[in-house]
Amino acid sequence: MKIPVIVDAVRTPMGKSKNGIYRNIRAEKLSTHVINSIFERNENISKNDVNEVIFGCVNQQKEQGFNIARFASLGAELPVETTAKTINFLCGSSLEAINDAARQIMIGEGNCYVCGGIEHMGHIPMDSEYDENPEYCLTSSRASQVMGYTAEYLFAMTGISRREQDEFALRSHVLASQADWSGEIVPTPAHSPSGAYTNAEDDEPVRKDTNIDQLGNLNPVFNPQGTVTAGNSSAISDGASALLIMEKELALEKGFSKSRLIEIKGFCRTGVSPSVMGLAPISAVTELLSKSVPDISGKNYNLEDIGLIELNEAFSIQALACLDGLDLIDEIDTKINLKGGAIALGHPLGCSGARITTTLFHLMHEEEKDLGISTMCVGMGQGVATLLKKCE
Amino acid sequence: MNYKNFETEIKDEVLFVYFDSPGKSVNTFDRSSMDELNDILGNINGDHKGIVFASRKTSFIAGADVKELVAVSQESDDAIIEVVKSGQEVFNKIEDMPIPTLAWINGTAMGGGLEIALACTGRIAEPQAQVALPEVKLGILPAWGGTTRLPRLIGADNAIDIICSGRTLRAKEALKMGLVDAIAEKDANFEEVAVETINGLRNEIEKRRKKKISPIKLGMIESMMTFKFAKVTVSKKAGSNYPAPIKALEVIETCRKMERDEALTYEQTAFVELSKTDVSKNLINIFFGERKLKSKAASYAGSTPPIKKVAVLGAGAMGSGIAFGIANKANVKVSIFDPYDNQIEKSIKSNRDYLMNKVSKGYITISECNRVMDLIKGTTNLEEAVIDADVVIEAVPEDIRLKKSVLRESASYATAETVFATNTSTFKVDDLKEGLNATRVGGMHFFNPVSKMPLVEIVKGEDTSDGTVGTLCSLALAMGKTPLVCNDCAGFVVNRVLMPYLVEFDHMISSGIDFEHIDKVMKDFGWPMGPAELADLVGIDVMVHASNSMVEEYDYIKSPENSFCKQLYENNTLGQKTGAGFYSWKETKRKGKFSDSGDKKPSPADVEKRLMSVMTEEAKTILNEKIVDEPYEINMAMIFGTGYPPYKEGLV
Repeated sequence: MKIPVIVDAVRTPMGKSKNGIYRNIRAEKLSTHVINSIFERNENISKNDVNEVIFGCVNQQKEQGFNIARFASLGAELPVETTAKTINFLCGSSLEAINDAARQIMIGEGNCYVCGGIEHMGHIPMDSEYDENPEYCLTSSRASQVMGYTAEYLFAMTGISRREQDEFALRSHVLASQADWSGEIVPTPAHSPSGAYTNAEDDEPVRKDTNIDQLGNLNPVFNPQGTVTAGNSSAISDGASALLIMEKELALEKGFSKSRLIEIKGFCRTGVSPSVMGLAPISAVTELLSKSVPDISGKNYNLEDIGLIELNEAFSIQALACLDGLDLIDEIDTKINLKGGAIALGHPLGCSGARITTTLFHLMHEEEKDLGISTMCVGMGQGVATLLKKCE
Repeated sequence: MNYKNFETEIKDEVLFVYFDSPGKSVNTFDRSSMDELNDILGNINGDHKGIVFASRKTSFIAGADVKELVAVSQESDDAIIEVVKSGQEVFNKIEDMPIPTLAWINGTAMGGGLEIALACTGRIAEPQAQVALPEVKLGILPAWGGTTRLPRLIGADNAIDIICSGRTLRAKEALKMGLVDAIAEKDANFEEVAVETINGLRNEIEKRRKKKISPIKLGMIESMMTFKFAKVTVSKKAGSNYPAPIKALEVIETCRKMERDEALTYEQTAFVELSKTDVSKNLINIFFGERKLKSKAASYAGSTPPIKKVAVLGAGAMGSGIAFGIANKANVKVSIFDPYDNQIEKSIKSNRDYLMNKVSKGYITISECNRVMDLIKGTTNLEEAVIDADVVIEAVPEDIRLKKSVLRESASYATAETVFATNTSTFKVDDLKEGLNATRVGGMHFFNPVSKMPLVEIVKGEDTSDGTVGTLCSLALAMGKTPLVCNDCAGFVVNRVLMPYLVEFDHMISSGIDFEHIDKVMKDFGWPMGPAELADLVGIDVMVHASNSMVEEYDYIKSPENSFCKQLYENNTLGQKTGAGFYSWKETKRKGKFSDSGDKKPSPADVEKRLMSVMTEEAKTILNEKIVDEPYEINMAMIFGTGYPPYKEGLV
C-alpha cells in the first residue's frame, strides 16, 4: 500500500464574519488564494502534477454552490485535466477531504492532491435557507439540530462548570494571540475596517484582551439556566486552508526532504446519537487507535504515545467533555490545542478540518513530536479523526 | 337507523357518517352523540369497505360539550374517569377497525373533534380548514387519546408544541407536519375524493395503527434531550400560573415507552387532576363569559337592518385598524376619511402590506387580498365618506372640540337614521352628541391594536336607542369581536378601571418607589406587562391626558403633587414613540431602565394590594352606578381589553 504524506499546509488569517476583513472577499477567492500559496511556497512541484483538488465546504449555495473546489482549482490555474470535488461532512468536511486524498493515494488512484476547506459564514450563515424536516422529530430530538442545545445537554450530563468552560475559552484566546503563526498563515487580500485594501496577516476574531471576568459576565445564549455563552462557544468566522498531500515516494523524488514529511497513518468516522454530537471525538479517537494502523510493523498506537492533539473547539463544554472522556484533562497543557483553537479563531465549518490539521502539521515540526491526531465533532452525531506520524 | 346527531349513507360500499347536531351551529360531543356514535360503530359489518366521518355543518367538530364538561368535573373522580374512558373507548373502536377510516375535516376540528380524526386511519382537510387541541386553554388536556396519539403520529417535539400551546394550525401546516395526509383541492368532488382516499389508505391500515399505538420511537438519549428542552420552553411560555401545559408534557414523557391503552389511563388521571383546579374553573368561566357577552350582543343585534356601508373618520392607527376589520372580517364597504392625503396613503398601504404578507406566506389568496382592499376607499372629502353610510365611526385624535366639529359636520351629510359611534377613550358619549340625533349616537370603543384585541365597548348614552345599540353590536359581531354593552361614563369600563390603577402607580413612583420593582411584581401577578411598560407603550402623553380627564370627571381620583409621569411628559420622554420613557426603547425592543423613580422596594404583597385594590374599588363603583349589569361583564372586559390574568378569579 502506498503511503500518503502531508508536504505543506497553509491557511488564511481568520476573519470575523460580521463586518470583518473578508466582507468584500468571496469564498472562491479565498480558496484560490490558499491553493496558489501552496505552489508559491513549494517550487519542487508544479500545478501540472496535481491529480485532484478536494475541498470541504458545508453550505454549498450561492458563492459556495456548484462545486466550489472546481472554481478554486480553475481559478488557481490548475490544468483542466485536474479534477475537483467538494465534500460536505458538516463540520468534519475538510478533515474528510484530507482522508479522502489519503485513501486515494493508498490504493494508487493518484499521487498528488491539494486538499483544503473553505467557509464564508459572513456571506452564507449556517442556517441560510435551511428548511427543517418536520418529520425529523419522529426519531431524533428537534433540539439536536441546534448545536448550542447539544452543548447545554453536555453540561447537563457532565456538570463541567461555567467557570471551567470560561477558563478554557480564555486559554484559547491567550494561546492564539501569543502563538507564532508565521509558518502557516499566508498574507491574504482583505479590507481593513476603514475600507482600505490590505493583506491580512492576523486572526481577526482573537480577543487579545479578554479576561475571565468579561467572559463571566456574558449571559447564556441557549438556555437561560444554562452555561453556554457566546464567549465559551466557537467564534463565527470566515477562512480557508489548504494542504499539499502526496504519495511518499513521489514527494521524495520531487526533492522534499524526508524530515519535512508527515504521514497520514489512519483515519476513521464514527456515529453517535445526534443530541450528543459533541462527544463523537471520543469514539472517533478510540476507534482510530484500535483499528489496525497500516504500518509495515503492524504497530498499534496508544493514546499516551500521541504527542499532540488538535481537537476542534466547537464549544468549551464540548472540548472539555471529550478530554474528560479520553482521560486527557491532565494533558491539556502539554498536548491539546497548544496554539488555542476555534473558540478564539472561529469555526468556519468547511474550513476547520483542514485548519486544525494545518496547525497540527506545523506544531509537530515545531515541538518535535512524532505522533499527532486531529479530530472533530460533526453536527447530527458524527465524529472524524486522523492519525499523523513523522516520517522516519 | 335514525340518529338524532348523525346521518349515515352508503356510497361505493363506504359508510359516510355525517355529524349534524340538531339546534346547534357547531357539532360537539356530548353523552348523546357519543352514545350514538358508539352504536353506529357497533353496526359496522362486512358490507362496509370503509368509513368516512364528515360534518353537515360549516365546520367539522368543535370538541366536547363544555357545559357537560363542567358538570362532570364536579362529580367524583371515578365518575369523571368513566366519562373520559368511555370517549376513549369509542375512539379506540374506530382505531381498531379492520377497514380504513377517514376524517374529512372542513372548517375547524378542535379538541375532541381533532381527537376523533386522530383515531382514524387517515385525515384529509379542506384548504381553509384549521385544527387544534386547545384543551390547555381551558386548563385541562386532551384526554380522548389526543395526548397519546399525537406524539406517536407526528413526533414528540411537534406534538408538545401543539398540545402545550393549544394553538391552531392551518391545513397547510397540518399537512407539512403529517397531522393530515392530504388537502382536498378547492373544487374537488367530496364523495369521489373521500372514496379514493379510503382506497389509498387500504393497504396501510395496520402500519398506521401500529404507529399510533406503539411507544414513541425516540431512543433514550434523543428522548432525554427532547424532554429536557421541552420543559424549559413549556414552563417559560406557560409560566408558573398555568399547570395544564406542564402536566400535558409530563404525561407525554411518562407514557413515552407505553403502548396506547396503558398511556390512555394516564390521560384519565391527569384530566381528573386538572379539571379540579381553580385555574381550569376560572378559564372555563371565561369561555362561558365570552359566549354570554356575544349572545347578549346578538340579541341586541336581533333584527337590525343590514349594514351596507360604514364611514370611518380618521386614518390613524385606530381608524385604519377599524376600517380593515370592517372590510376583512365583516365584509362590508368602508370609506375611510382623513384631511391629509398622505395619512390616507399610509393607512391603505399598511393594510395592503399586511394582506400581501399573508399572500406571500400562502395563508390567503391574492383574490382574497383584493376582496378586502376593494372594499376600502380612502378620501379627503368628508361628504364623500359619510354619504350613504349606515354607520359613521369617529376615530379622530382625543380632542373634544375636534371630535365635536367632525361629528357635527358629518351630520350635515347624513340622514336622521345614520348611526354615529365614537371611538373616544376618555369623553362621555353624551358630551359628543351635539347637533346629532341623540337616539342614534353611541360609543364603539376599540382597543389597540384593533386586529388583536377582541373587546369592543358598545356604549349607551342617555338617549341611545336599543336599535342603535343593536346595529353597533351587529357590526362588532360581524368583525369577530366580543362586544360589551355598557352605560355611559368617562372611560366606560376598561379605561375607567385602568386609569385609577395608573394614577395610583403615579402616586407610588412619585413617592420614590422603584418602577422597575413595581413592574416585576405586577408581571409575577400575571399581567402581560407592568404599569411602567404599559405607560411607555400607550404613550406617556396619552396617559397624562387621559388621567387629567379622569381626575376632572371623578373627584375621588387625585393626581400626585409632584407627579413623576407629568415630569416625564414635560421632558418629552414619552415612551416607545420617543425611544425613551420609563425604559429605553429601540423601536419595539425594550432596552433597559431609562428613568429613575427612586429605589424604595415595598414587599410584593404591599405593591399588589395598593394597585389591585384601587382597581377592585373602581370596578365595584362601576357596578353600583350600573354602568354594567353584572360582575362577570367587568371581568371579561378586563381580560379581553387589558390582558388581566385569566388564570385568576376575576376582579369582582
